[in-house]
Amino acid sequence: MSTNIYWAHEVKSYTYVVKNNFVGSSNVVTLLTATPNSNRFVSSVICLNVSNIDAEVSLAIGTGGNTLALSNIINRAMIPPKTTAILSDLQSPIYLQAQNPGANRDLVFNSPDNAQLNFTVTYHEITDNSGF
Amino acid sequence: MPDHVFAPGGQHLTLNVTSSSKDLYFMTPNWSVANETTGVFEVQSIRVMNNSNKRVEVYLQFMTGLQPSTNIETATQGGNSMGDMSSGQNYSFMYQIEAGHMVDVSDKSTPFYFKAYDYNEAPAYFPNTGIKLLQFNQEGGTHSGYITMIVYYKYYLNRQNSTSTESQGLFRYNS
Repeated sequence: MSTNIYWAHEVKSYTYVVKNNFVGSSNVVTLLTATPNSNRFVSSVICLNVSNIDAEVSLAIGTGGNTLALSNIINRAMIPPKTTAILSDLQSPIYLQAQNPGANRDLVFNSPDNAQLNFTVTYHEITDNSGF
Repeated sequence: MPDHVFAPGGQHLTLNVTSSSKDLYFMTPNWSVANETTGVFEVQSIRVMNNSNKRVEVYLQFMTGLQPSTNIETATQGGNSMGDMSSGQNYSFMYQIEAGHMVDVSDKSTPFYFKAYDYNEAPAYFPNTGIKLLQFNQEGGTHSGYITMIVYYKYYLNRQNSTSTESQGLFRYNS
């Protein structure tokens, strides 16, 4: 092991809301991207269905592109109208680790229903000098 | 010497409801100059108590000041004052709360971070980060009583008084 590797010297965190409408049966929307030198520790993913219809929401880890791969789904929930679902929290966090060299990893969602969804995502950005 | 210290804290915010809808704010104050931050609030829990005489619908909206400009499909929050939170439907939570009941909005399993941030120029610094609670009377008729939002947090004070637009100083030490 290299003695020059250091990591997690500084942790950043963000909370924000993403609002998006119907994205179709197979398309995904990117919530977050981990790059080879900057990974993401996702401590919570919260989804609010603002609409008056049910919404089926799939959370997945993507490897680029905008097509949902069924094998990449890590959580799925049917969210009733005006209801908040916690898709991930600190008890079951998500670590987005990009591959070195050059392959990003995306946290994405898909919803085949014509519902408005608000996402609140909290994560820590972990950067190192080795690219893991 | 660490460049930050942290202290626990809490706010019990009470809304006296006398009309069909009202709002209240948990604001994250800053002891700095405009466009700078002195620290970050790590919100540990949010609870909402309905002590009014009617069932209410409650919306909670966040303005964190920590939104990135990249790696996000659509960033809907932002702006230069808490007043901007009144626009749009950028809510994180919605609840129907019966009279006399309480909901646990979040706990330690889902912490949220808010940068203490003032956008406006001196001397009238005005916090523009925090949580907005909006409530609607769902039963009609005379609405009276109280809605209470209880927020507990840990506050990380940044001694370096960073000018960063991100959470510089959080969990970081000088060495």
